Amino acid sequence: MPKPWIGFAIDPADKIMLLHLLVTPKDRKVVVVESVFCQTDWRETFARVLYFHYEILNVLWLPSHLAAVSVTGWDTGLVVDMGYEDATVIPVYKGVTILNASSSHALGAKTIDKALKSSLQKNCTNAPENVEELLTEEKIEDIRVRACFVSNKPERAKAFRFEINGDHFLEFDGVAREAAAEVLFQNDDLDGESIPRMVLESLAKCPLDTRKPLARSILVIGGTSMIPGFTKRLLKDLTELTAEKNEDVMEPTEYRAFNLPTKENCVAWLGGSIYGATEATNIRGFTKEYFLKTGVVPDWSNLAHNSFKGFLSGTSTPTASPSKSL
Amino acid sequence: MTGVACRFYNIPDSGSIIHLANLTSARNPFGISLCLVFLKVDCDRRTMAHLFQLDTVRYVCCCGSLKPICFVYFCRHCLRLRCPYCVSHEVDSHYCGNCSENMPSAEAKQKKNRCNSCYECPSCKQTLSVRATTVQAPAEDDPDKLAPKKLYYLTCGFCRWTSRDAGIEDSTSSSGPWPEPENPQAQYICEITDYFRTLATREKNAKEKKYVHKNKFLAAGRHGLAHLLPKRFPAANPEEIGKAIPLPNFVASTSSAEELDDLPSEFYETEFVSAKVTSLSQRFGQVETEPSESAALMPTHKQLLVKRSLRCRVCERNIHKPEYSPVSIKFKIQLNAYYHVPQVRLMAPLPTPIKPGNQARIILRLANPTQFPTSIKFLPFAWVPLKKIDEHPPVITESMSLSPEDTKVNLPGTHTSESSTDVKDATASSQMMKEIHVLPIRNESFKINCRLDPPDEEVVLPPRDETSEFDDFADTPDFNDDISLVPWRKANKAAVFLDVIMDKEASEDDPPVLGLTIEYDYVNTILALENKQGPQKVRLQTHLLISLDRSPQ
Repeated sequence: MPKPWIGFAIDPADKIMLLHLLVTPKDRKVVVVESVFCQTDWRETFARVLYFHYEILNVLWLPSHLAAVSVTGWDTGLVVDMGYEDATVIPVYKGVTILNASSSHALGAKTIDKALKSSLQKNCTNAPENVEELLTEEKIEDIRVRACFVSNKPERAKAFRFEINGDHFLEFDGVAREAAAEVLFQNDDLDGESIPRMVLESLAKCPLDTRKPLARSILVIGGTSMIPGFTKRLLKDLTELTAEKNEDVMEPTEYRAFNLPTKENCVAWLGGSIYGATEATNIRGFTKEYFLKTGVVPDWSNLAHNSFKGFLSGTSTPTASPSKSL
Repeated sequence: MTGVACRFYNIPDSGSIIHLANLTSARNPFGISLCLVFLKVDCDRRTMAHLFQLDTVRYVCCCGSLKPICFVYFCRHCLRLRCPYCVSHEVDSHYCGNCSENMPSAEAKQKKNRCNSCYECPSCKQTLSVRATTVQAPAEDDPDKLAPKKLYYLTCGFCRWTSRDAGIEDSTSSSGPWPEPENPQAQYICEITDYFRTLATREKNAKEKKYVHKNKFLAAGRHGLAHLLPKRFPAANPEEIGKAIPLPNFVASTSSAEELDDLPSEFYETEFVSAKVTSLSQRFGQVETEPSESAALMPTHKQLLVKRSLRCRVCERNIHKPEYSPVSIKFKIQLNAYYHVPQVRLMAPLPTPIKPGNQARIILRLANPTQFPTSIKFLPFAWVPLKKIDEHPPVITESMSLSPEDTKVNLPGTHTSESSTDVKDATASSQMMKEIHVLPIRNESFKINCRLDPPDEEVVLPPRDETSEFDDFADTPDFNDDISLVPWRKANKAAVFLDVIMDKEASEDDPPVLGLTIEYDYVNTILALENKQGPQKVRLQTHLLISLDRSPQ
């Protein structure tokens, strides 16, 4: 696979630094809130952009689930991160990530959009011929954000109209509003996965004595979870699934979710800015000199840093020589 | 916006570009599209066509990126081309794009980069204007009488949103005050931040003591992927380990499924109106609250803009420095390449497309933008990409990483007019060594499939003369040109015939691209200022890629 071209990282980063933050990048410290499952290539490219292109002296690389947990003020949380492409569940117990109990599946906004599109086409009541063309990706997203919700009741929503452009109004049956998000809960797709099942599987992999505290501190983050009714439905389904007592499912327990001081899509960002306000960048950040010397940003997936040998030697063995060519 | 527009389009001999600058600064939501219309009209004059075909002639920057001349800078100290990627961008001053008021950076930071007095429509992001209405209200001196009273509210001329939609009461003064929505969770976030500050300070203190190894306070350290790099072997410090980690003052509350509110009945009972629900971009405009109902949208302060200055990464000198005043669109320093490097344009299209193995004659139009005469020689493409000597170089040691002193030695001021080739090579290579370490190397890929049959003679161009631009009958200087090389000449411009051969091996599908190096005289006036000597003349090379499949019109 070819290395990602730095322009992809520089152009948006330029926009952030000089149009929104209005800072000279060189004299700032940076906190990068990253997913632990981020592709190494992208991570390294971004590191090169920060250290070489912007000449930033100190960057703190912070895993997004830890940033999210820090917002709660507590050190335990079962992070359910609902993204666009996929959903990730990562348990953090007393500040320690239980990485082998994490799970990730393609159940994100993209999945909803796909389901929404077919459901809209099926339920369009004034169907003009070119329904498929009118329902562009942006329009589907708009409908998902504005109209969709996760149903908790057997009732049905009323039929609704949606303006596609100045000339076209599409009318849909109310069921389209609530049917789309069901893909996250019904586990009848190919993988047989659903968000509640992912949470339960993750809990089942955790050490026994951590399960109950984790179940009591579910932390739902990510923009996709902002569909109205999501958290309530998740907790309800979890309780029901546990009550059924499948063999790999834990004892019935109480499931509780955190009420956060900000909207779900900003949680990880808020966590990052909390870290950024402290000395953490100085203590934990990796400096430009370090990057110049070793050419890598240490990562958990790199055995040079994350192995017994690396631990004993006390220093990292650089695996790659630094390359300034971006 | 104005600054940017001017920088990109302010090409020396194009008077109509001023429209662009003026129109974008007008507070008109359609400013930009109007400008384009103006430019299109001008385009008929054919002289402006190069603006729309920026990528016909591309200059090769020393880092290897290919850019049209209006996107390239020229460092007068390094005497090298620099593209936006090989200069560092710095924030010079903050200002509001609407009221053009300057804001010191400390204040801007405190105000969260927002203008004090200008507001933005939360619905469509246009600038809000203040509108006045008159109401009949009881007069102050005589409560029984009704007197007209002026009230003000904010309104968006674009989408018709008004502050009344947000439930904001009309103000008695035109300057507000308008209510500032507060983040309801600000208190909580402060507490959490304070808590983490204490933890971080404790960790820092623990780290300062030599024998303590474990950094146990911040969660990021404990699992976070970073702790896996022990700097020292663990050594217990009973004092520090014995101390309990302080408990947080605030912990977010949790709720179970029963405690969470049911979806409001509106979802089922009332009819869905999409205009009453906010869109994603409207929500992102108000990150603190992210309201889902349109009625909860509040006017937001306008985001500030910055004037930026650019600095050469190699010699750390300014390449661009705008004037401080936000109203001014001028620059104190503006080292765009089109003020220093001969400008090359493809003057006429090829009458028939060039075929592999065939020869064709192209006409280039050269312009000398400097105040000194220059003599241009055409050479085959001779660009050497910046490359490390070893593809897998040894680990860069501390001493090799660039400190400011390193960059200051051997500044390329050592170009001399009569330098022998050895000296020239030496300075050029030391220059390149420096660039290798400082510049991000891009080396964009390109394919040259046309070669030049370089003429032996040089083309002499007189200096640029502002007045000749407006004088149609000015005497054209006589240079005894060979008509078969220079068919046309006016003031500092000349047209040149060049013979081009397309490679036999080239595939017919590939667009024909001509690689070309021009060598020209450049008079270095900076050196004269610094060394108190006369201006020094140097021969510089610039490398160009010309796409031959495009017509200039």
